[in-house]
Amino acid sequence: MEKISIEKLKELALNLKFDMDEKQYQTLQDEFDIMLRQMEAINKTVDTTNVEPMSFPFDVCFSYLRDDEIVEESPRDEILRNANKVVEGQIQIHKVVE
Amino acid sequence: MDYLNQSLETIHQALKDKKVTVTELVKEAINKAKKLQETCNAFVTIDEDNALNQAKELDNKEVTDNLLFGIPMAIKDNYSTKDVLSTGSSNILNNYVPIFESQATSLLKDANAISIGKTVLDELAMGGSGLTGHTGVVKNPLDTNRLIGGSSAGSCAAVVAGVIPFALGSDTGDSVRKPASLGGIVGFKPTWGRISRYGLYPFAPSLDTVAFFTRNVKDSAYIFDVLNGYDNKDMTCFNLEKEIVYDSINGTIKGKKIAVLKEIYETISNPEIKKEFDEFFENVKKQGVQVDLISIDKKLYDTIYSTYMILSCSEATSNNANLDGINFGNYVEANGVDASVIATRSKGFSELIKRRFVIGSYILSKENQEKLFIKAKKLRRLIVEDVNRILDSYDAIVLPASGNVAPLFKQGNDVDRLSDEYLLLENHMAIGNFGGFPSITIPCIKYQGLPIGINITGKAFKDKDVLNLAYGLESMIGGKK
Repeated sequence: MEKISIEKLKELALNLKFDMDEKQYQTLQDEFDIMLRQMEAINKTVDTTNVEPMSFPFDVCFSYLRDDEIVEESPRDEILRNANKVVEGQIQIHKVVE
Repeated sequence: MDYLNQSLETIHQALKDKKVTVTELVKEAINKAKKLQETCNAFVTIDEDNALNQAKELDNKEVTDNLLFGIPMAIKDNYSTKDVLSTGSSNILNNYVPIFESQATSLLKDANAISIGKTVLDELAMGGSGLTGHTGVVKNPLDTNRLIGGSSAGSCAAVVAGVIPFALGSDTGDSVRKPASLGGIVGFKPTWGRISRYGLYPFAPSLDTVAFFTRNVKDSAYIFDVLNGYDNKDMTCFNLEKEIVYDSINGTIKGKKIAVLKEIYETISNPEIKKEFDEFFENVKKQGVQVDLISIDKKLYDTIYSTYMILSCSEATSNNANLDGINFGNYVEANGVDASVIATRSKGFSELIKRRFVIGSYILSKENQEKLFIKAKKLRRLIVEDVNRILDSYDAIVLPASGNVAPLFKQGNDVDRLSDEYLLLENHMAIGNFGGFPSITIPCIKYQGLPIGINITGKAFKDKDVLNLAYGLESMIGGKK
């Protein structure tokens, strides 16, 4: 695998909505280098042809639907108390529509 | 008498016999926590007032037969605790006070255990050093020049120091079982899906497990009994009947068969430590246990660390996308919503976390999914199938939980991350998370006066058998009260 560029790392970081300084990007590039070398070695040595990917420890089906029952929700004031700015019972953020 | 470094049963009997009150226990735990804070920085929050109020209430009641009645405990700060600061040891959540209680802490509190505080972790449970919590480094109470390990660093340190007899941690790769080894206590990660994760901050949910530290194996069995069981608030919690194992753990190990994985075991580079473990296994054989050094496909097991990093970073990137500071957390104002979220996340996450997120995002990008993400999931299956094949013939896989004692801080990152000892011996416990296996670390040998643990991993849902084997080995070694 070819070495990943600093520019690509910056693009990935900004997609994730954060930034780092130049030294940190350099450390990250070095870390990627080790990881990609490990992966390259793996791809060469372990044959995974026809192996089914495993997402969870067990091959089980979970029920993702709960019964449609009314449950008591937390009061609005309690939910909003962790927000930075609250105006008239709503969280205030910058205007997003120009 | 210092009751806090005794077994649950001993403390319980003292409460029943009125030799000590709950308030006295809690006051002593808080005093010890404050002292430990000065030397080791184990706590984010010491919840003195709440703990003492609860203690006073319990002192007005009759002591029940429940062993957790009035027992002080500590909780890793990545569990949601209603009305108590729950930071995940991250600056992005340094002001976050949840409005709901996690299922695990709720069950412990229902059993009348009393939380004396929330403990430091590696930020958002990512990391294994105890170095990266937003309130600073956690030190090892056995030697403050050394790491205690992580991510459940503060919970481990508090039990090691005898502040509390048990503490809640969480285990995604070995975050309870590795520090337990470095601190000389018991760390148990039950079968994945046996305990509800509701309210545990998600790091990598296909691997995350509620786990805990105790001073001995029987106490772990009791905590397991309290915590296991179905909870419809966690979609990955199995709808199985609650299991009670405490009374049936007798430590009978004669006739059991254990497998030691040769290619992992033989990477121990320190000959004196290797000799100590060789002697341990010889003693196990004398108990009538069949101990087989069995060969594995080294090439496959060499992939454990990479597979773990790929899966955990990918899941972490996705799970922590909600931390933007808008609904909760430490919001940083800038010019516009996008700029504010970037400022919030740039200031809120440390460098290590950011690096892990970028790695995760790279792996999940369309062009890399097949060759990295899907590949890792396939490797996970191959490893789990191979471990299950071994466990079809053996009661457990038993291996050192680490190849050396707790590292000194000054050693820093002086580790060859491509060496066999690092890739295999220091990371093999992630197998327990890949396959959801019950896995426990107990204190085993000492080197230069410091402990190293042994890890015991068994078949999924055979928590009782793993605890029983661990209890037997602990009795042989001579464990803590």
